Amino acid sequence: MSGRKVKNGLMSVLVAAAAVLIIAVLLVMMWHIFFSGVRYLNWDFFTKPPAVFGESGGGVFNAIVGTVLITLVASAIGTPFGMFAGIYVAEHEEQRFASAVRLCADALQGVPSIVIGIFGYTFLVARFRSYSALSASIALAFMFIPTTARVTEEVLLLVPSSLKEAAYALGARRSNVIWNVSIKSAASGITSGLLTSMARIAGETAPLLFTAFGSRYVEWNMLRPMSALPLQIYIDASSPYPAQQQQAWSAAFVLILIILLLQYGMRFVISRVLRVKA
Amino acid sequence: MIHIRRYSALLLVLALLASASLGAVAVPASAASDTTIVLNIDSTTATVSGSRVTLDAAPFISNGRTMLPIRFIAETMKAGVSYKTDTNGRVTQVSLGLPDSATTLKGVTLSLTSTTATVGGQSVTLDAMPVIRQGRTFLPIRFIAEQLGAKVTPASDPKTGKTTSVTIVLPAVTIAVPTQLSGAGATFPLPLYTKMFDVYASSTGTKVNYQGIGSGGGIKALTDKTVDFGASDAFLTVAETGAMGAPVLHIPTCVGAVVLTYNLEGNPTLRFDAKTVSDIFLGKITTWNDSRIAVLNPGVTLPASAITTVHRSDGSGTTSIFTNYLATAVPEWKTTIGAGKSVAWPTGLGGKGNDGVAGLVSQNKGSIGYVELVYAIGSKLPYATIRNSSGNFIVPSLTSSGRAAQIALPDDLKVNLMNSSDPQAYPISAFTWLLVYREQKYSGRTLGQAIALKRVLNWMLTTGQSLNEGLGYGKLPAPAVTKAQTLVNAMTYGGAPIPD
Repeated sequence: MSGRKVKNGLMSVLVAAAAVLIIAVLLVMMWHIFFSGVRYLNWDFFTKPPAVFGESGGGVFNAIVGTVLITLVASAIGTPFGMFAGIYVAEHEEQRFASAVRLCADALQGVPSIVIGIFGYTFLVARFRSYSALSASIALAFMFIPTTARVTEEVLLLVPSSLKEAAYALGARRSNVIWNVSIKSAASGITSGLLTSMARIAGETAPLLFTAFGSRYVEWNMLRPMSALPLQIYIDASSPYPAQQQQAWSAAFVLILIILLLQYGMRFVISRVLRVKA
Repeated sequence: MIHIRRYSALLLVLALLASASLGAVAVPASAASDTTIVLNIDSTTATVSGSRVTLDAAPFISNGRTMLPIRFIAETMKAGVSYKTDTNGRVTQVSLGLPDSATTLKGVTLSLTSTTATVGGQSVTLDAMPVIRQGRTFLPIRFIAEQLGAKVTPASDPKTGKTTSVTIVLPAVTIAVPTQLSGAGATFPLPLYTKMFDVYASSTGTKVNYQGIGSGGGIKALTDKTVDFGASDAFLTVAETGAMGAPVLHIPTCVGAVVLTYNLEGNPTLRFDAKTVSDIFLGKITTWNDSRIAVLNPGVTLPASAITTVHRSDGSGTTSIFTNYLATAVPEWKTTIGAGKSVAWPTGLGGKGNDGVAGLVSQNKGSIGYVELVYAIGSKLPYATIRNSSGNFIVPSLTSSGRAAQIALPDDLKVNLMNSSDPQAYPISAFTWLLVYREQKYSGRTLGQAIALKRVLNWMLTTGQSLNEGLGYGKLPAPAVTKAQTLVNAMTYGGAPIPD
């Protein structure tokens, strides 16, 4: 056998091994979380706040409410900024300021989440003398904006220029072209980008440690400390009590479920609502 | 086009959902009416808003002034009270915090030795001094009531002309006391505080949100004024006190103990003294059958295997208690290692948190580490008996750690209980404290917040103490509770004592 063939065979084996390894790690992780998590799931788990330490029972309703509210508010704050920045960059590629915006988005995307957390603590929590869910949402919005901006831009750039040129040829104004041609044909891509960004911030722990603070109570007021699933997992997993450690697995399972739902389930629902393929 | 509309509609719904949850806290505004108090001279029965109440002592007239027991004043006028005493424990000065509006207190200070009083910092001269009768302090009621804008009308017997009753009409003041407080700090008392606040919420409706972010984190949060109270296993250092910017009170809530846990064949109960423990953690005793361990443990077969020490890798109150004990009891430890939340360990493995140390000990045969007693009990770990400063070998327990606080305590309760002089005390014991600012009027805090905080602190020192032992924490001894209550009472709002 020639050296070329040996090399080819060897590389194929290595590539296959890498693929199998990644899939295996993912499967083992999912399998473990599923079986450790499902075992302690019950109705109380979804409807009750946590029990006191050392006692079994209780749930993570406080954290589910927190994760949903904090993520929604962060997305509501981040969506206009992220989307409009993306549209601007995509439609004005030739401007120097546009590339500056893109560079900033990339830089912001690279900022570690713990740094975003300290930023939120210093400028929001310490300034207003109170931990709050809103400060967590604002901190998370800073993680949401750059990903949204980049996805929006990339999706808009995929819109065929012939389509836009056709619109211009029919006498459409630029605003018309952007709203009715570019965004319309990119809507599905932008939607899935938004959902991916939402799923990403829903699983963040570090910014919440400094801002949302956590709470054992079910809290609906965004101006007060609030719990969230990643925070609850962190607290439960490091507690000395087996009942809490088990709950951490269940909470991890629920968090993954919410993230998967955001990423795939919501995409399906929205594609039905918008009648576009998301 | 239609797709865009739907899309924007979806975003709008999301935004609406989000803003709906931003709603402000609703403060119930109840229109309270004036309170009418009718006092009968030389009688312990009075009427407050039409209902009969019994006073702890009857009002009387002295030099033409009606004198009223202070407890009744504090209760009906919702005033805060604090005392200054001389070295013999006699009351020399009484301070009142009178709620003259929903957000402010009027500070009134009366002296028991002169007729000069102060009202909101201004000196005024009274025609009647407070008096002490049968151990109770009586105050001239007209002067106090007038500070609150109350109308005082005496009624006299038409025959004798003597005053028989006094009617006081107090203007209504409703202070909005919040039902939510937050605190952060030490993880060691976290299970206790969680349980206490759970019970407190169900009995009073006030929810206290406590997060165990570590003693250092709690001190930082209080310094940044982002929480109502902090919590720490070590009292503030000089630098930390300086950073706080204002006096901070240390309110102990329980007595904790740190135990030595180990992993040996059969897990015998071992006995140690401070010097041996110090030598083991300094790396001077390296095998279990060393004669210095054997001499303390007659009858126990010790293996010839090596000793692995396990300590905390994170900054922790537990380490602070353990190293403070060794520094107090062993001069060599003090000079070579010292004490603190984290120290330079000469040997051994590091684990994060109590669970990390316990995990390392259970995985390594021949290892020894230190964890909180409550953790050792909860996880069913073996733990050693330690010889205390009186020479007695003491088994760590709730009782023996509680005994460590049976010593003469300083008034500020900033005291190390390690190596306690009590003969029955477990030597590696310590207080854990709640930290609050003495002056509660800072960065926009309301009078209601100060009242809510004072209430929960007092509850933790009294009713809350009954929860301690069930969860593995030593109860505060009675003298410590009394001193702690005095500290809580010393809290002020705008310089005036805070109403209960």
